[in-house]
Amino acid sequence: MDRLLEVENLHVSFHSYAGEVKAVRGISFGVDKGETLALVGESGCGKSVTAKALMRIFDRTSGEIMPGSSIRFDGTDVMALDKKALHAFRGSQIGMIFQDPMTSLDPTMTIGKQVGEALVIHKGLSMREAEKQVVELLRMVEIPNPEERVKAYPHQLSGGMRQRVVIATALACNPKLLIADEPTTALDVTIQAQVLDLLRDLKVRFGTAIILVTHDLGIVADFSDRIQVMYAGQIVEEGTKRDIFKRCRHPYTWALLRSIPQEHTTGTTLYSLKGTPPDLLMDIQGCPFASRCEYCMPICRQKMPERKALTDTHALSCWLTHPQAPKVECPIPREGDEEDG
Amino acid sequence: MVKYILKRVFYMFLVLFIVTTITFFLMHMIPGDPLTALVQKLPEQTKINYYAKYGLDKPVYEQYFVFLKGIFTEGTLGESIRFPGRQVLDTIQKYAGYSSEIGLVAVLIGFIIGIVLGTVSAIKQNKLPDKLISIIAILGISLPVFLLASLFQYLFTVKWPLFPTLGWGTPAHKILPILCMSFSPLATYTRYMRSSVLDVINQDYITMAEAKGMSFAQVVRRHVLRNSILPSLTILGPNIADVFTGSFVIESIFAIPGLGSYYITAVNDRDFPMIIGCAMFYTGIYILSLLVVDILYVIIDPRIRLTGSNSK
Repeated sequence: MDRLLEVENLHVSFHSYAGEVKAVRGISFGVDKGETLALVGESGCGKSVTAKALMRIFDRTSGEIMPGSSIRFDGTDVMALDKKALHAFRGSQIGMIFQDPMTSLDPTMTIGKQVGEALVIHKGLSMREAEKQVVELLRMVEIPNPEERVKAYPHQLSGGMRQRVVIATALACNPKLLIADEPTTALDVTIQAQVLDLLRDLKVRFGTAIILVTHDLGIVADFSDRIQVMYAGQIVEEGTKRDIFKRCRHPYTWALLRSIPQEHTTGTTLYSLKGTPPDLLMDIQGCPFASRCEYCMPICRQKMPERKALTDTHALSCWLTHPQAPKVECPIPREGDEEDG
Repeated sequence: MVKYILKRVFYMFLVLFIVTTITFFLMHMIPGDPLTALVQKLPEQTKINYYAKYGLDKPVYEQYFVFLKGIFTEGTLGESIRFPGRQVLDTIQKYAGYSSEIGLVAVLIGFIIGIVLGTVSAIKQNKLPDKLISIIAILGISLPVFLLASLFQYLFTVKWPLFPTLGWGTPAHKILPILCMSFSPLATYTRYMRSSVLDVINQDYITMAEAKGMSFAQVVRRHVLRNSILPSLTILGPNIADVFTGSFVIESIFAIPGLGSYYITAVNDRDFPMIIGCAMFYTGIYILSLLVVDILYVIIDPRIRLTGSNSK
């Protein structure tokens, strides 16, 4: 497959009064054309920051992509773009869907104009021409009565409808990559399913690659091709859906999977991971997960484990993969291991 | 919308009526009346004649009805007692005009520059422009207007004689007072605008607008300004009303024949018709500017629906 996005050694820091918060610490990954990649991890692990960094969207705030980071998108060196080129890049090459549809639309502007803005900027249409296309876009994201809804203001739409508007905006200029930053977190469950169905549908229709940022492994399971598990600004384990759900080896991934409510856990107390993630203001010595890990060994606190590829698709950073490490089995009972072979 | 405005106008007259009534009785409770000084040395009968002429010999409630009758039947606010022959309405019309030539222009200039400075300040938060603007804003709020006026007079009429020191007549006469008067509103709007832009700029829809590929200047023009102007608009109404009474200090320093000084003189003289006229005028302007601001609200922020208008 063709590589669409190639990220290497991405470092993102926020400058605060307390010091430099190193939110993303040297991650490398890629996305193929038409592929769906999920970034999974708990709050503050750097997954949203990673997603935003791909469009260099925090130029104005205290966030900074550190020198040495490389982002290449479809032949373009994103880090080298000047302001003007960057504006032309955003929205046309990469579209973004935000977490909370209640706050991601401008309350004082009709949705027709808001969706149309992207077309006006990138395709040089007049607002009037753009609004005609917006009707089609709204129809595409299955908003009923699109002809009337273009004149509606965000507060006149429900949460699910607003998220459809946000999706329409992100897709307005046929971007090659869609970044969905927790697209369903703020929606209730039935609407979540509808929005995910819509995204899946659009992905197939337009062949758009998607980076899905989420902490909900349930969504990941039926939505994405590949999964990257992030912890404290680093990718701790990555692999195909099957690698992660069936063959995962990292204790943090185990912990994430164990904390999903399942049939056999009904009536029992749900597993929860003790402790808190490390302070991102500090330098981390050793494995960032060491302090919370059930299998922590002395080496884990001293040295960061190297990334180790188990197969072409499956890789992780954990000392347990070392030949001299004790053999530890995944603590999760796994149904359907056999059919896996 | 129309229904709402009609309703508001009706309430406006109601408030106007209540304020007028209260003012009328309050001013009659102040010791002294407009004729005391005037008739001191006159014979007893002349005194009585004088009082009878202006109806001041009648009980207060009766005077009140005479006053109301004057408004509703003749549409007049009466004649000044202190300066016989001057119609209150004409006086207000004439001198309020002078006040507004200075005051309205000053408030408007302050509003526009304040909006711009506040926005710049917020965008360049904690950088040099923000710090400079903050100094201007703090000066504008803490410097008393009479100090500023004297300073300007010294600098621009004595040290560098660019403008006339005081008086009225040519456009050059207006520049210094306008500058002085716009300083405080400018500072206020800058501060209001700065804090609301800071708030808006961190909203998700701003990030989303940037993700669409808009340049930051476009984002500010299309999304930031409109969303952050409401707080400043809220204080614009009262500020406009203040032009006609609060400019008293400036008007006396620069010898401008504005309404402010007439209002104060009227109160000191117990010139009843003049006092009530000014009070009514001020109330009316105040309510009217609030109404205008409320209507602007609806135009700017579609989430605000006026009660009584059912348009959806």
